[in-house]
Amino acid sequence: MKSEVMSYFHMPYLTLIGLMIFFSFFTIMVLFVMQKQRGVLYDYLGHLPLEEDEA
Amino acid sequence: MSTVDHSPSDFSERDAAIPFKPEPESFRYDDQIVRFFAYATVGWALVSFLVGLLAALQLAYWPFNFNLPWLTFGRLRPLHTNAAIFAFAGNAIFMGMYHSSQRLLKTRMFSDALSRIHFWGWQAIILAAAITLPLGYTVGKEYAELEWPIDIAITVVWVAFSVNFFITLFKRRERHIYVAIWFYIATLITVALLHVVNSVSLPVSFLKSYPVYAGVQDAMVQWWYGHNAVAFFLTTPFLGLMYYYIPKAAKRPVYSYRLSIIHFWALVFIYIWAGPHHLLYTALPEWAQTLGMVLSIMLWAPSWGGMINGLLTLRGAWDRLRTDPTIKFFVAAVTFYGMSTFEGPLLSIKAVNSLSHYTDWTIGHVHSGTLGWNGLLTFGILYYLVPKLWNTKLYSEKLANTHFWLGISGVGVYIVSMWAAGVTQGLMWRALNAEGKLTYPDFIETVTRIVPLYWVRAAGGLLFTAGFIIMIYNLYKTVKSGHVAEEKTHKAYSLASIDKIPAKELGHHAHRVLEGLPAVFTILTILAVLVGSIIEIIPALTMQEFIPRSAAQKPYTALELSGRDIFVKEGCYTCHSQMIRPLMEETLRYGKPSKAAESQYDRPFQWGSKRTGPDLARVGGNYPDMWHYRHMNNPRDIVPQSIMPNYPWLIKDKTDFSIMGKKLSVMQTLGVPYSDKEVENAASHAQQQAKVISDRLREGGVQDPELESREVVALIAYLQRLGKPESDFIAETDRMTATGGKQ
Repeated sequence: MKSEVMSYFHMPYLTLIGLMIFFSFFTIMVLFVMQKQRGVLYDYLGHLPLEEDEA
Repeated sequence: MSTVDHSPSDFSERDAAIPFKPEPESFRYDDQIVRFFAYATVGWALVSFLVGLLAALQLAYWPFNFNLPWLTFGRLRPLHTNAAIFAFAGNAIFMGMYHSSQRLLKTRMFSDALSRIHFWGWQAIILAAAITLPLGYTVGKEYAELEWPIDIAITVVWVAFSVNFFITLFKRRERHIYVAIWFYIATLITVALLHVVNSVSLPVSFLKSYPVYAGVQDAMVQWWYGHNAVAFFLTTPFLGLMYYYIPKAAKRPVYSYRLSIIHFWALVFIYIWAGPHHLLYTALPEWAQTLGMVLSIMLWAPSWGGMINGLLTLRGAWDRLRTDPTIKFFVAAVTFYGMSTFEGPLLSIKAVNSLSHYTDWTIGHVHSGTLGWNGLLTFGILYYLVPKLWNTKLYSEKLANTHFWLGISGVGVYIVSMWAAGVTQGLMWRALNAEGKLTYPDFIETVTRIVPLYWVRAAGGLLFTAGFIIMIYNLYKTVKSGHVAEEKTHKAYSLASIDKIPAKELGHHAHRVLEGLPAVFTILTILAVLVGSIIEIIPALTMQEFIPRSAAQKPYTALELSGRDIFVKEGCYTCHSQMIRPLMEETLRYGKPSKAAESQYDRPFQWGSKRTGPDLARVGGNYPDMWHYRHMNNPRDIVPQSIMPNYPWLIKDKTDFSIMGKKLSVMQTLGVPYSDKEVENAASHAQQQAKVISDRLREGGVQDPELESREVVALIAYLQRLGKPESDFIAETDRMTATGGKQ
């Protein structure tokens, strides 16, 4: 399967770059989001839709 | 974790504690635009469901095509899909976006005029689609069928909407941007990108154009668009609506705000890559197929993260599932989201796809998404919004509950029948006997077996539509019992004032982080979308490196090209593929697998996505011209059990020879190697080829003095060319020239 895939593919660096960007981005994003001190802000944000009860 | 109480009274206490006390600003929400879009959502949904129901009946019983060109399945199917996606779902999205965005941003939309331009412009576009598609004006690319003037109108209206939205975003009175708005931003940006890139075409006339991409490139760009139309028109905006309306209806904050952020970024980043799963086993390079499959499987995680987040928002309020119809619709919708986003990646696995592709399994899958997820969520929002917008109570909860049960029964019957039909037909296509030959060599055997399931599918659609009509009555009575009150005045601090207030006084610590910087956030979203797009599209646009173009593959003759345009116009691609996959059973049934070079001049590519009829990639030369003539006039003259519509108008309508030169000229501009002489003599050359075909038809008994000019002759020229590198007519002409006219 691998050889079949790669036989057509002359730009392997493209998907490698994509993988690296995604992995780095995702890791940074998760670390950023999971910071303990951000809990207060997220609690505030989570309640935004509930601020107005009339509609 | 914070222990801050976010009840409104607490905010008053909080405000009292703020040392710097700016004057709050007064403003009113524009709810009239929300009402407009609510009307449009309901109206176009009815059109979409009724057209879908008719199309379902046409597949069960072919006479429902009524022998009328504008009512045949090939023309109605694009109308149904466009109406469902852009009219029903589109108006529903806009209804929810205008309502929720104003409240989450604590401001009126920037411009009422732009809101109205958006509304009326969008309705005009839908009307234009509803007129042009049944008349056969189509580009022939799924979900992107609309011709170039309408495409330009879509761009203009989308820009008006985006300008209005983004200026509203920048003049908001809430520093932090709630996650629903993130999903709206991703929708606005990505839909614009997808639409513009995929719709680039060169006009031949006012309502005819050819895409700039051809063959594999066109396929790659089209399914990058097509898949992400699902992602960014039917998923991200609806997720935004889910994150707003489920907390509102449940009166509880979203289960995990952290999860919603991870859901957003993972979804936006991954979704854009998954387009090639629509092209597995095709002539698309293997690496792109594998990439599409892997990224599709990765989508399981964010999709289910979102579903779980939506459902768990109801924690502690599950008892309302028994009593509150709005909650019922929301829970069912999110459950269908989970089901369809489980099924999508499953169908993207190549082994599964080899069975499911081109069958009704895919049809069942998309309807679990559109009817189950988009439909039920929209109904829930309507049940929530309409009483509030008209200051009354829902007319009848009992009728809403009846709608709910009819609705989910309808979706259930629909998708189960299509699963059964798809798996049955897929297994029949691949069944081999002990001798290694096809067990069901006649394609029609695999069709007649599943026709009963087409009736069951139509019954499912009928149930769903019946429930919807009950909703119309219920909402009508609700609106009648209510009234449109004067817009309420609301108060909030301006953004500039908020920035002077210490963050901790507002109940949180961080200011000006990502959630408060829409420009930075928008750029990050664009980058997330672009990474996948660029990595997939760059190879597609430089495909010459990957795809061997064949010098032996000659462009279509003028008559064949006109016949191809008729093929596209009649929507033949909605039932017939032109892509033989490298699978044993396909090779046995249709011939050797299709190669990329064979569609190098195809604008648009016509690989198709569904085989209600057999593949046509190598149909050329398989049957005599007379077979095709009789088959187009009445397929049952050839195949008694056929469910294909009659096309009697092709026998009568005339081909426009005068435009052929222009068509070839446009193709020449796009890089098709037509000589100037071929362009100049396009019409006379086409007439010569038409005469050869007509003579053969006359030998078969056709009596028509104007046969050469009939559309069916051009269509036959095209069908006989399929699977051949060169036109027989050209080969014969060249041979005659070389031998000085001797036979």
